[in-house]
Amino acid sequence: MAEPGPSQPPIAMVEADPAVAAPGALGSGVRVTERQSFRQIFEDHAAAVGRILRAMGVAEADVMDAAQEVFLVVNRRYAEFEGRASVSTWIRQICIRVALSSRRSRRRRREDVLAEPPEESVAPDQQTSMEGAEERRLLGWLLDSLDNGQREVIVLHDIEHLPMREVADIVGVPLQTAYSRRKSALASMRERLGRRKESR
Amino acid sequence: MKNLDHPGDELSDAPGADLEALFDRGRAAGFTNAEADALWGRVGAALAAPSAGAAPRAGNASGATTAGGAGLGGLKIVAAVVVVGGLVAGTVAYRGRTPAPAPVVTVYATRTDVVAAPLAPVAPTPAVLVDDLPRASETALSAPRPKTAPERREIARNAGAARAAESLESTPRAGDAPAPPSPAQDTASVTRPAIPGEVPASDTSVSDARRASAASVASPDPGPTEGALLLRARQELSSDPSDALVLTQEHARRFPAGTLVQEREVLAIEALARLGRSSEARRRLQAFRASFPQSPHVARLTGLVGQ
Repeated sequence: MAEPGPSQPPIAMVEADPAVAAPGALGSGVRVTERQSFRQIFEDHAAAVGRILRAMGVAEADVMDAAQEVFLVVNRRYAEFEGRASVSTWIRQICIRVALSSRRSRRRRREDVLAEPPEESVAPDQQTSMEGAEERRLLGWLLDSLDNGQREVIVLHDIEHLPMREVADIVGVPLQTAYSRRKSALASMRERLGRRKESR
Repeated sequence: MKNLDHPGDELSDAPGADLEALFDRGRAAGFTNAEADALWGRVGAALAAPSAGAAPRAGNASGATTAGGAGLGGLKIVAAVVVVGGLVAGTVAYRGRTPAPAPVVTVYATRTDVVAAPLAPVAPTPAVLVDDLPRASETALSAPRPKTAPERREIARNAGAARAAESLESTPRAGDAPAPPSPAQDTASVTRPAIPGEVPASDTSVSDARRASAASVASPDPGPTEGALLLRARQELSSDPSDALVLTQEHARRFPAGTLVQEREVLAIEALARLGRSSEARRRLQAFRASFPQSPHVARLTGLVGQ
């Protein structure tokens, strides 16, 4: 991973973050009642990590790097973390941080940024397999219109299906704030989607 | 917002069918099994390189220091190679163990009773979690499974580990290794990373390791594994870069979509540079930079071949 210095962990947030430390009743995810092996944690969460990183707008070329970083953080911090929240909440939180930092570093390299709605030309024989990809790009384009705070809420609640209370914990804002972010995010996405339809 | 106390009411602001459909898509965008396998291989490799995961905290009983200069995820080559070759050297290292200097090649978590350590509240040593990764190490040293070790799931679909195991099975038998050393000694052996391009200091264990691994890669069927191939390329790099280059080509042919593509390219670029084929090296580096913009190797390679 490119940015942090050697001796410095890429993200130093776990202890400092009240959202992680809060032992509150968190909805989905496994409570750490027993120690899980790293492999098991990986198995349980790898798919979600990929999903969240992608939904958070990590460029496809960076997804593996980012995911690797997520699991290295998990590995490094697991001992300190244990028991304070659900593993899945914690990992999702790490994903969000890593995703944001990955996007920052990509922006610094002046690449990226989808300014235009995705094109919709697809060879007929590929139609079905391409549909998913097209929709995913469209989703990405819509999510790109959100600010990070809104995007986190949408990703965690509407894509990950986490309860809003847990979303608020992960994002580290009051529940009410999470709700209002979601509301404005949905409005903005609908609006962007509507404009795109009109222009076609 | 009035509904805060009613769980489920958050859905009252429904996204609408269009958006729902798109969110469903997003939900389907998780890693595939193949991606997860590749990722697992990378995480294992990165953890096996002491500087990546846990270097500073791994025991330093031998007094050897870890390579502080490499960034997170650096030394990936060596790590990957070590996943395969480490145990070979490990066996050797045990045989000729001396208190210092530490073994040349990183020997990580070959002992299962260290496994539980990082998960225990007392002494978190994340590197040890690595033991979870290379199951192959169990094959080679066949240390008794400790009672405290967390129950492990069968990793049938872990292709990476399977490959590593495969290659290790052709290495000297586990029985050759003396009884496993104490955990403290083990930790000591973890500390010294092998640095890409660095000529290891301890001659005896190196040559032993080379002989051993040469034996392992020379096994006829089904041909060397991805890691074994690149391990050999790495070893040939200084003595016979053109041979190293050929090995990377073989890797490219046999594992076009392998998990160690990045490592292969690094080796190929280094080999080209050593052969003085600098324009080729530069071209290849350009492609490498485009494919792996965040690779920790980019800076070093750029220094090696120029812009």
